[in-house]
Amino acid sequence: MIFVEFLRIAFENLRRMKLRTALTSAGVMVGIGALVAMLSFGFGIQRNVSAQFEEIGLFRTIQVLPGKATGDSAATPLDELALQRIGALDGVALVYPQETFDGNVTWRDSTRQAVVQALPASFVEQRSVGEMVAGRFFASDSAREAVVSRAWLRELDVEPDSILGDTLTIRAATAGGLIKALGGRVLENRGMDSEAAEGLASLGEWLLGGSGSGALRLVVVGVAEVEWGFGFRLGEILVPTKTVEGIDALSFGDPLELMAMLDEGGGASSGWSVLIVTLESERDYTRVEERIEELGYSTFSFLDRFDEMRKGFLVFDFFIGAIGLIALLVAALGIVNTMVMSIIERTREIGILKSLGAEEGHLRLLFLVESGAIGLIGSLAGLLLGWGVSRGISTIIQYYMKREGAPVIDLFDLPVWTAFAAIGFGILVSVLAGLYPSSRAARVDPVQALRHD
Amino acid sequence: MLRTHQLRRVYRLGGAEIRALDGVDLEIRDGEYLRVIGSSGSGKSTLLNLLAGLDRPTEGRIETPAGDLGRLSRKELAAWRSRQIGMVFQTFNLIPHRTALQNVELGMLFAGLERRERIRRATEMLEQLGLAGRLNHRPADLSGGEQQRVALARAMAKGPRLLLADEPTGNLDRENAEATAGFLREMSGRGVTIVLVTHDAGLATDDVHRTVRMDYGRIVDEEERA
Repeated sequence: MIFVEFLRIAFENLRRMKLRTALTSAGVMVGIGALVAMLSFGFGIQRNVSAQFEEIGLFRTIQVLPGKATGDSAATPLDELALQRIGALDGVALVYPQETFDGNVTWRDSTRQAVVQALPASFVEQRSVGEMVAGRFFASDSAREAVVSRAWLRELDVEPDSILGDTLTIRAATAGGLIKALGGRVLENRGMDSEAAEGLASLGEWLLGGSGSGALRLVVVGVAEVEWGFGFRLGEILVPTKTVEGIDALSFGDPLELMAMLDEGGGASSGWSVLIVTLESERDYTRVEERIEELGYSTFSFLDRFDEMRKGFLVFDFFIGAIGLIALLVAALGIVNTMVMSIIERTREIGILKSLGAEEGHLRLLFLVESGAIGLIGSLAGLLLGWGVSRGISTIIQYYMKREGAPVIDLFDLPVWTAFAAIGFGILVSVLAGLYPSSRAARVDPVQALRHD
Repeated sequence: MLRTHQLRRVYRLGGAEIRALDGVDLEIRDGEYLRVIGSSGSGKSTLLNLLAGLDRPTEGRIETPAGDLGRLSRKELAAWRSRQIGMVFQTFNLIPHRTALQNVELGMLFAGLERRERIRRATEMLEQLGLAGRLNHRPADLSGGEQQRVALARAMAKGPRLLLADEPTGNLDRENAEATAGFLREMSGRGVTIVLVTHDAGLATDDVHRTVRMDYGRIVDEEERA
């Protein structure tokens, strides 16, 4: 009951000293406003990054690598058995080899290089490849169909609709082919006659397994705005997994695999280098990851990496929040000053209250309620200020994003709990700032106070 | 009943020792109207502050129904002031930014009375003292006599057993001083124990049961009304 009375008295006193209350609260307002705007920026960045990762399904993706060889057991390869064993795990929606190779793609009369990606047909049900610009995804794992990326078409300067139904011829760049190309250039650079260099390189190609195992002829059924993500990348040409099985392809950009293939004479290795596992739900992540490791395979956990990133975000939020904290600290000093002044001015009143039976605790509470009320007023105003500033900046940035044709995103995020936490924090800091003045008020000698002018 | 035993209060100011009270033995009976007179600096107000529990004795005891005030905790002393005693001062000691009604109501806050009850009692008390039309006036808008009546209302609204009045007519003209004395007489008639400290030897002479004179911190004379 007495707390409600004190609240009433506190607001009466604050209303009486309007200018002083307004100025002191303005200090808290600036501090909380800065804190809210800064944290809202930090949260906004974190949300945007998380949303991007979530959109490309990274929180539902585990990369599986071959198991490491130990003293008495050989490395567990990523073969058909691995696909079956992992696919049978509870919570696994999709498992497919990360099969990307460098191919020579012929369309109409021109041949260009492209990164070819083998994917299961069910891929699009689990994870988006990006927006389908035209046509559809391939119908089955063994369909003689392909989906091409919008970016690849841009290089050819071709409209998406005009390629649908056309046939692509894809030849894989083999180890031998690569050696021929690289070797020829190296020999030429060393001053060898170009014809002699090509001859020697061709010999190398023949020794390493010939000039590839033929070509794939596939019908283009769709064009997608293919996205690139962390930990995996989608190629420029997407083809069904079973359709591409026959092709003797060299994984692109993996020097270790290249060396291994050279050791084996250019043939296919005994398994894939990476399997991609898509989960039904993010919740299954840790459990499935553990199960895969129990089966003897290694995993690359993106969530673990993201946890590290989260720590980074926390540090980032802390540092930008520190700017707001400094402003709030200055405001706290303002509160201390205001309250001490108020106590000096109201010494006689304190004496009167004591003569009427106020306990020291009552006086402490009365002045803490007053400083807390300053904090409440300042925090509410600060929340509005911070929100207003972040909305204002966001609107300006979004205007420029729109004008430049960039995808429009909101750089700020202010979760409801943060708003409440900011108000609570503002009140807490103000109450802490009121501790010294209130205990000073409680210690006032009533006899002296009653004589005070 | 209140009883002081060898009550001493010594202040030390700049190395000098000031004996404000120097061995006061005093017994105040329930319902008694006691007047304490003496010149300035005789120790009257110090005695009153000690009886109110606003100050602590250097030596001696103050026996009250709540115990020896010198040994009570600060919280217990606050309870003594909030429930058992009412105080009025020469300078009224009203809170300037609160109305007459709010000042009187505040006097009951620490006694634990509900707000509605506080307002009811405060209104009743102020009306009784002829301030019905002044309930929402601030002290600055009231005359000295009216302010003292508000102070009296504040002291008595909670129904204390003991009223301590420190020079209550010191700032008042004759008419208002007599009105104040009349109020004290009325309270005494209702059985309230009153200790009136005054340097005005003529105030309430016929109303009090007993008068003690103080000088240099001691009781030097005592006169019981026949």
